[in-house]
Amino acid sequence: MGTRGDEPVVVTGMGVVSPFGIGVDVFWQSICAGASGVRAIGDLAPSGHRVQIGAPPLGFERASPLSSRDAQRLNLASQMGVVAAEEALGQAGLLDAEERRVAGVILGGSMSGVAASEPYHKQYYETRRVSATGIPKCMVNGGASAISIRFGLRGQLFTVDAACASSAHAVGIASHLIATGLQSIVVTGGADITLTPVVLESWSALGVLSECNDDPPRACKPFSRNRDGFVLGEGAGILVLESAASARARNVPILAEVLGYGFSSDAHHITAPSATGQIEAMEIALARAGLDASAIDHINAHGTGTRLNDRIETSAIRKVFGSRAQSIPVVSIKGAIGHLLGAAGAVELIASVLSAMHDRVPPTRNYEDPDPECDLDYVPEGARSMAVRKVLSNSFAFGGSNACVVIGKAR
Amino acid sequence: MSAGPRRAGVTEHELAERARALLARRLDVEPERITLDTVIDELGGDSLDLLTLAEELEDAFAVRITTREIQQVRTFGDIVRQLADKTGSAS
Repeated sequence: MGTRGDEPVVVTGMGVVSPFGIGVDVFWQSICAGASGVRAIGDLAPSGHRVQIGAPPLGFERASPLSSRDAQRLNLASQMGVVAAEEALGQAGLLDAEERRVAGVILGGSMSGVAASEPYHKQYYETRRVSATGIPKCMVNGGASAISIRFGLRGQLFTVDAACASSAHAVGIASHLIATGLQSIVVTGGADITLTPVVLESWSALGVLSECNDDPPRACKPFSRNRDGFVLGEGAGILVLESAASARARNVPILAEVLGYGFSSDAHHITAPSATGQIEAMEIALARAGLDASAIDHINAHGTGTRLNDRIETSAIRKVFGSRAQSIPVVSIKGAIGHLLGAAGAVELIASVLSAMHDRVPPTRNYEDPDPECDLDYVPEGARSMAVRKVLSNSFAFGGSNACVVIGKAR
Repeated sequence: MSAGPRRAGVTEHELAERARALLARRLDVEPERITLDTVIDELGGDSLDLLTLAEELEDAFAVRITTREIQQVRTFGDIVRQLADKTGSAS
């Protein structure tokens, strides 16, 4: 990981639950095809909400593919995490392998506990009682715990909350633990739920959500001049990270390499971003990867589609990459899948790995009106085939927590 | 545990059948696998299953089952006996 003597960290498995359904393939094919997972959510949002759109996970629809017993004690984020972890562990050849027992589980999450608690608050205020499932279902570490329990993973086990940067930090921390030899395998990423009445209305109250209820697939328009905010999405993205030595010893295919993790805190504002913090995080990630800015072929942006984020992120990218910024494809997949909050960083990192694997960059959906303040190459025309050796994935959170991860093509 | 008011029409057999269905659903097992002698633990049931089952039994039979009472349950028969006692069902 960029520091001499550190063990190289590689990706050997990935799993996704997204608004396009269960599985990495359907996710990748859909975002490359320019499809949209955003839809009207009258079934989830009570009438009267200003926002009537979202990107819920296809294949769950509030009913889990897991057993009713699992559904009783795991919230939807935890259930999606388990399903995505099964896909990732399967790809990594770890579902039954003895080596899985040393693996850690480090996830990111943000809203799942609050969202899952809503029915229990209602129950309490109506009956003065709360079900015994309340704590298991609302504990933020429930998803990571469920993965550990189901698959018998006995290494480190915890969940990172850094709002929208949670799962990017989780992957970054996991990569450091491996690089420094504390863990040889970590199941990491994130899972989150956002489409519950109070959570939805709370985000809406901040004025950061698109209210384009009439045309859900065109609601979130990252970097476009007519953007009016993001769309809340739900899902899970899980990666199996391991030391290159472990992957070689197990003789499993290496999908990509995690080259660097950069972080910073804005120390600025609870909701507004700061270019300074974003610049630092990108520069630290590049430095940790031992790369010059010229080495980056593609940036998977945070790109929320809010007025402020897209302008600030564009200016930060310009500062880090200078005159080269203009020629780097910068993509936000949030126009297609919405903002998965605590799971966003991980799902976008998986897209970054897939870009490096397939030499293909997905488009920024709904970029239709150039903004003079957002003047980079956002790949609006559709997926682009190109050489992708190094990818930078950005995640910037409310509260000023920034996480950037550099992915490299498998050597 | 104190006996509840005796209700006409609910036999212990009927009560056991309803409780069996709830337990079977809670544990994702076929109801036929559950007899009065069945040990909950041997069906894979744990303390959290019993606590949530108690909530469902409370709703189904309009009784109050304390946490301590449900934690003393070992077999399905223990559950039926507690319910019969609370509802005053005829055997």
